[in-house]
Amino acid sequence: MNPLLEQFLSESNELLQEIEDKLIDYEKDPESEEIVNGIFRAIHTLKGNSGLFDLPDLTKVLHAAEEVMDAVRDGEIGYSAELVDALMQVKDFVSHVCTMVASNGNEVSVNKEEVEDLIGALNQFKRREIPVEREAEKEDILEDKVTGIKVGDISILAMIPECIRMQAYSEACKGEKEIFLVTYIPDEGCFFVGDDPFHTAMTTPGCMWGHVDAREPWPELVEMDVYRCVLRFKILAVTTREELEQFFEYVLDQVEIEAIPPLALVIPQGDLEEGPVYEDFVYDALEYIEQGDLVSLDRAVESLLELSNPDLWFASALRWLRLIMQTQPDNVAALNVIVKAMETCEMPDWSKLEVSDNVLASQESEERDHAESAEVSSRFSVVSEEYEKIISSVVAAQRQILSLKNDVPWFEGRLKAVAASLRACFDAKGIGSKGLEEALDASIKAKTGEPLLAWLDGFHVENSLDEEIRSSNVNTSDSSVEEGANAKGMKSSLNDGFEQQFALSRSFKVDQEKVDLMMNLVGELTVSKNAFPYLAERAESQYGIRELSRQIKQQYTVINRITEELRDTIMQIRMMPVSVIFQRFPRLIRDTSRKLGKKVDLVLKGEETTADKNIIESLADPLIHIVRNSLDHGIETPEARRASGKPEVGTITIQVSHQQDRVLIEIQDDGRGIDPAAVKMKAYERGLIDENKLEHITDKEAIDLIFHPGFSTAEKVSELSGRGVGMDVVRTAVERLNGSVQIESKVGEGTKISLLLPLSLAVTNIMIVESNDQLFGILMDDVIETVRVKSSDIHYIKRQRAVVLRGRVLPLVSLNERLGISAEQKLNDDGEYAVLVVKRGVEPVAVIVDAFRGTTDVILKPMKGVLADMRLYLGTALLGDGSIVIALNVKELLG
Amino acid sequence: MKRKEKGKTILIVDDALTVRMFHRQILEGGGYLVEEASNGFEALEKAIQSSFDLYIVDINMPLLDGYGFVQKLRQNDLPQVPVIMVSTEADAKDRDMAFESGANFYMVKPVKPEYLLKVVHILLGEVIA
Repeated sequence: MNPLLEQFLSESNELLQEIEDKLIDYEKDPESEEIVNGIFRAIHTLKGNSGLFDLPDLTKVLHAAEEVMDAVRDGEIGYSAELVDALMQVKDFVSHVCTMVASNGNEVSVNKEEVEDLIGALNQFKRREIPVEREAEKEDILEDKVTGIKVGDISILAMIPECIRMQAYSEACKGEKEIFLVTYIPDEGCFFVGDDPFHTAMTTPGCMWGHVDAREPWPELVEMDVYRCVLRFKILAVTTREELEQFFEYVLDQVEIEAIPPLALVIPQGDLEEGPVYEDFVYDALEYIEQGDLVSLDRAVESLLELSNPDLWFASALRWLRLIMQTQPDNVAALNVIVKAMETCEMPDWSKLEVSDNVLASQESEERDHAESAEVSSRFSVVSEEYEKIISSVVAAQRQILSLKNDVPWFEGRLKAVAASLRACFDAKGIGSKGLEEALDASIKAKTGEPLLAWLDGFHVENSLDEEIRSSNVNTSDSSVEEGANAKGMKSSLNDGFEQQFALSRSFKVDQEKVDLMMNLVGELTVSKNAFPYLAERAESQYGIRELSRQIKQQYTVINRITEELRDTIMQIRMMPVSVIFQRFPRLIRDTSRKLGKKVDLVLKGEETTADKNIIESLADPLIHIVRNSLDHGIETPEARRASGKPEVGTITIQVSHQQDRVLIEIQDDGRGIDPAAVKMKAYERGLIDENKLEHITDKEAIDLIFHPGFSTAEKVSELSGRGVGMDVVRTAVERLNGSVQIESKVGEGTKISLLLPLSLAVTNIMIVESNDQLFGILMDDVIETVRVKSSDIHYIKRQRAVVLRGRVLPLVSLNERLGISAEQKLNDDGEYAVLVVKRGVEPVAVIVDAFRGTTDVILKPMKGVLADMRLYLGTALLGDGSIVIALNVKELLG
Repeated sequence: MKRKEKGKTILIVDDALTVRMFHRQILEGGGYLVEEASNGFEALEKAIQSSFDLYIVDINMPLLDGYGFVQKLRQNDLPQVPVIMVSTEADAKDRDMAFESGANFYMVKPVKPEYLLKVVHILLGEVIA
């Protein structure tokens, strides 16, 4: 099934449920604005969505419902049980249609009566009725289109000034557009629903002329209800039917759209008396027409027009004749009709023309053959013509914006956006936009759009853009007409997808919280199953039942296996490919490298590698930071790269892979690398290391210093990566995820940063140690090794305890001491201390504890409430035997 | 993931999932990168975090509506790129409000795919051959 349709149906179901729930809430609490808004929004969204598919009935019903809810929102309609009933019916109807779409696809048959009833019921609340009869009338009119014009209309058309009719006629003769007479009878209650019929009428697309009167005789002043709309509009528009229908989309029931053949506008008017003798002219003219000698006819018309008083009926007829000659020189029949009409000074009878048109057909087709070749050559420009139109409307929109007042705080931003849009328009035309920046600056300074408008005026004169821009004026919707056909194509292709059944859809949405909860439960299960080995142990040692102990152990292996499978399955649900965060990189690299004037290729490897959603999400920012750093500080400028014999284009490689149960992310660049000497100097300057350390620190340790808070190797703070945060932020973020960061770098060859992260956050591997009869947990990620140290092997260096391990001197601390426990650490029977070697930043530290208790998987629960601020503790965990262990934050403990 | 086509990113701001998906299909079909936000507030956060080449914004949304979002966008020191506002209302009042708020173009939903793409091409200043 088409995924868009699938999405629509699934979202609709959610929204419908929401509507139902909220309606029930509304009954309980009719005063709640929040509930009313919620219902309105849900209906509004549904309506918007339904518009994407070819479901006109659905859209109509939802539109009516939306209007009602809008009125409820504005307090015009109060709560009533009937209102809720009507809305519930709407909900049922929509639900019904959705089910039909889901099961039958394009075979959606809606009961028209039901639709009318629903809309009728809804409109009742707005105290208005929908004139159903008009439906039928409208259809009649549609059919009228071919047969010509009714006499009644001529009186209206005759009201239109001649120059406007002529203009409309010429427009229509260009083809593409037609002439329409729109009769718009706004709903009587339209003022209450926020309609502005005058505005609507005046902004009709292609509007050339308009007329307004009352649809019935005005009542006596005392009886008049001024809030009841009794207006009737007549609009002459030159446009296309689709555009009109789209414009009047929501009041289609109040509008009659009638196509007018261009010749119907040829109504000569004027003084019938007086004037020279015209019989001769009529006779000559008919002859010229017969001979096809339009040049002579034109000359005769011109000379006669000069002689005649322009107010005469005959002069008017001559002007029309001239116009027809100019626009349709081949329409001999039409010329004949008008000339003959001149003989009798009667209204030209166009009804006869329909027949003679066919006679002309053969003649025309010949002409068309000639025209065809010309058309083919001009087709190239047709594509860009559509663009031209849109560009004109975009420019017109910017003009409109520029003429707005400057009384808003975002005025400057608006100007900048207008300038950006204009620049884009001219770029799209490929003609550049010289002087735009200056005009923008002037506009910002003067706090008015004038300089930009002036620039636009000056510019388009210069570039002869004027015609398109000016003629389009403010009519933004102008260009959307042609696209109607395309949209229909799209709709039908959606319908094709219907056949793949909705019912077969095998995936469904689950709230992330539920999965989290499941993960937690599985975690608990993992831990509590660990109680079985204890139990088996006790069964044997305490009660001496070996057989039972063996059986418990056997059962344990089964439960263990199932639990692990369960855990893996749920982890799978939470797994996402890392490509989700990679999506941002191509763009980031492109923008950043352009800003810096560097050339960089991005290579992504292993995007399909998956990891837990939480890990992926929290990894995005550190990764971006690292990549930015590589771009900013790592990759050299093309010149520098060339000088050092490297290819001009640098490469940043991001590689992701699984390392057992961890994810390894490596970000490698082939840039200049990190110079340990420079790092050392910077660290010294900033007081991060003392002179002594400066002497002895290894290169690797030096490079690790970049993770130190407040360190930045860049000479000056750059716009991109220098935001006062350094690599220490990356490390903190990664460590928060129980991960680790490593950096390798070679001067002149590049830098590699490796992030090692757990696949999931849910289960943590810790080492349990005992100290002063209490259990403490240390993250296994922090533990390097465990050793036994004889007390005699402990040395004192400057009153600080130390121990030599594998040839290295490690500082030695006692856990009790660090935790503020006064007891001494215990020795084992052989007089040895249990010593844990842990990582503390760059160098390891040895920690004395009382005893090791092995490692285990636990679910770490963070500290809550007042304890949450105690950063020494990472959290608590429940062990298999029911005891609680506190996990320590090694960094804080030793820091 | 080797998307090296046009590399321009458009942020779609709409509370209706279906509409977002519809727009996404159109724009991705045109070779653009697309990001989404489900309300003005989320959109503003995204606008502050990363830069976009164009915004397509719905009007009626929870938390912060389209007008509010564009106003805030224009008021902040962010790259002022064009905003196309889309709405189900074919009302000139809505269009005027959209312009007032700082949008640069107004379209009525449902948008015609071809038309939307053309407007996007233009507002991104892509040379039309």
